[in-house]
Amino acid sequence: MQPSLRLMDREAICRVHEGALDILERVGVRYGSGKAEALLQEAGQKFDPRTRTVRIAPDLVQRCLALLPHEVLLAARDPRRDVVLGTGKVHACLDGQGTFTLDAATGVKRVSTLEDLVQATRLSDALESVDYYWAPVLPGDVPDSVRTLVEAVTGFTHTSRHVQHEIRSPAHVPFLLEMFDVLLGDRRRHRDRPIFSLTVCPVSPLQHEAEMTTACVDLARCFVPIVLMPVALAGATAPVTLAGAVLQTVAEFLSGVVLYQLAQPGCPMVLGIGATILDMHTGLYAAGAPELPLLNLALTEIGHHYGVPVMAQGVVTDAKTPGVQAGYEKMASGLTAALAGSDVINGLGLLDSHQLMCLEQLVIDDEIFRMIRRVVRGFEADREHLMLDLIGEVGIGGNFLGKRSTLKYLKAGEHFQPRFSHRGSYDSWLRRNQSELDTAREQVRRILKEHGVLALPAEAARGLREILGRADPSMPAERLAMGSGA
Amino acid sequence: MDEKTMYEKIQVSVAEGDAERAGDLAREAIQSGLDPLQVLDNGYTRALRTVGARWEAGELYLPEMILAAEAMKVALGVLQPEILRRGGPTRTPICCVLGTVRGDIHDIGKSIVGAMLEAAGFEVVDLGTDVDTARFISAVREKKASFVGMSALLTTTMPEMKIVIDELKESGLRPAVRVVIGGAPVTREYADEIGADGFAKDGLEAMRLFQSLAAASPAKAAAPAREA
Repeated sequence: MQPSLRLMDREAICRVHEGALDILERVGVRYGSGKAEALLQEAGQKFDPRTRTVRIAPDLVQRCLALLPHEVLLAARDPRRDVVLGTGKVHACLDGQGTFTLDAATGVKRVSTLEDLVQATRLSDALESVDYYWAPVLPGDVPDSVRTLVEAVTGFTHTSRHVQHEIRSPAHVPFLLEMFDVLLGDRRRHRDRPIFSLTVCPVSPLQHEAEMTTACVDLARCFVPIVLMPVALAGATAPVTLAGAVLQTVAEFLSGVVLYQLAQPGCPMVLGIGATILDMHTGLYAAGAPELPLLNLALTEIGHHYGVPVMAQGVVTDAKTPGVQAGYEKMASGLTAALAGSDVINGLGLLDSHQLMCLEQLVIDDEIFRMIRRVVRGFEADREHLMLDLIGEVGIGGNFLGKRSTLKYLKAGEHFQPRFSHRGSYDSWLRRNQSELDTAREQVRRILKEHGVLALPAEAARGLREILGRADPSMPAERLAMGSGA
Repeated sequence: MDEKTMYEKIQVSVAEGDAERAGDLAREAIQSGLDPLQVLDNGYTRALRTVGARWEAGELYLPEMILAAEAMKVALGVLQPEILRRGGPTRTPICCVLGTVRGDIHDIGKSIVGAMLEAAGFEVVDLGTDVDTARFISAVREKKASFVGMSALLTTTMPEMKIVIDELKESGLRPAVRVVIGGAPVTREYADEIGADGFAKDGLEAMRLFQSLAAASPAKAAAPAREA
């Protein structure tokens, strides 16, 4: 038996869906990308060249929705780590993408470097909760012209899990496809072994970014899975009501579905949830708000109603340090997203509303998500687990500690085992004489020292390095080597 | 209506963000013979400053600031021509040109800053998003702006900020203009690196920064917000 949270009834879901169709037909969206506009026009949709607005007919939306695969494979360099979204299992991935790193030892927030990204990637490779990689932080010491390619290569090199990332420019597409050639032998194999997937965020209300969208159209044609993640901010770039923010998110998502299914029928897609509220005192994104769980819940139900996997925003916080606020906000958002049945939850590793990476927080988030997984797993209540006979056997006033079955079920995972949280007496905690942060830092150090990432074959590493070198000949050799491991 | 009651009602119209009422009261004030400059300074400007202080203290929501500023603008539209007609000292607000740089369509942060600046009494010319260098330059020239505020949410579009600053130098406009930048990935170091005069992380910080820069430099005319 597994627990679940429910929010919307069928009528509410239908109202949202009808409302989204109405917005798309009456108000429309702007793609900004000539390639996208051409596709929509070829499909007979109304395009206003003056405002570059496209109005989309409901029947086209319905037809495109029907093309979406229900399950999305995210393949890993190590096939044992493949992830399939849409099976009912709740996964988690790294949060993307911060600009800064928090050095918990010094308490200093600074612009991130490639070394930070590499360390975070290698650390994540060892953590049980992380099902796949999304570049958690942006290396500020890498030229912008190739940065997203370097981030992808860092993923391919320093973890053997699936790599998900954004693509900024159509100019990067050929280089990415060459990487598929290097890693898979032939880029056409990517359709069956999609080792790379895309995240793309429309700009609310109702806009897509031109360059990114053009690049995504090119990659959709190669069946690269796309996580379409509107970031509607309730009260600012979407209505203040949660229902209105949900509706607008759905409209924006559907406009992406139409585009990418027109580009490539059957292209795998995921509904990404980036929505939250705008804090009305500071004017800033509020990731830790209790409204976020409600948005996750509603949009997960709607995504599943459409038969598409959903990526929720969970284990997230507005806190600036790994402390009290981070703990409760991350657990609240993560647990509720998981109980809603989100197929994957992004959020691991970042603080300060997705802006600040912290390695110590990453190991703490691993613990948080492992706890969440335990809750989601539920428990069995069949005859075997009810243990009637054993209760009779132990009788009145006995204990169960020495029973073989106790050990058997413990080893099978009946009780969650913490790796970070302190249990034990108050005195034992005093004797340990170590703050929570020190415990996390120790774990980070140990993992980075001991954990070996499955190495990329030397030829593949060289191939990736060569591609990066061509993408930006001015990039220093040590940068190339660090990122590509070559 | 006596003067005291007039000011009270003006206060309420601004605090409640009632633009229509604010405009009606401004017209009534003029008709009843009150000095429009006094009405502006002691009525509307004072009211807006109170709203601003309450928002800074965390008592009000952003939308309340925005609606109050809107009410102020409507009243200003009624009072300004009358002030000019009478030929008295003017209250020409300091002009700020705002925009999100070329290639970037993120708008909300910049819009919030714009609303804050209007509430603080600046004249805001919001060029929108994806604004190329030429548009920034021509707006600064045309409006004789004292400030340029640039926003970028993407590290890939941040370099545009330097391009605009360089062009301001090239066209000889840089000395008369203060440049402030903002956006999630922007840092103080970056602002220093590209020669901006400052950077701000949120709407409140931006408002304070613009106000302090305005106070520090000799202005062509006093902005309502700076009036003692």
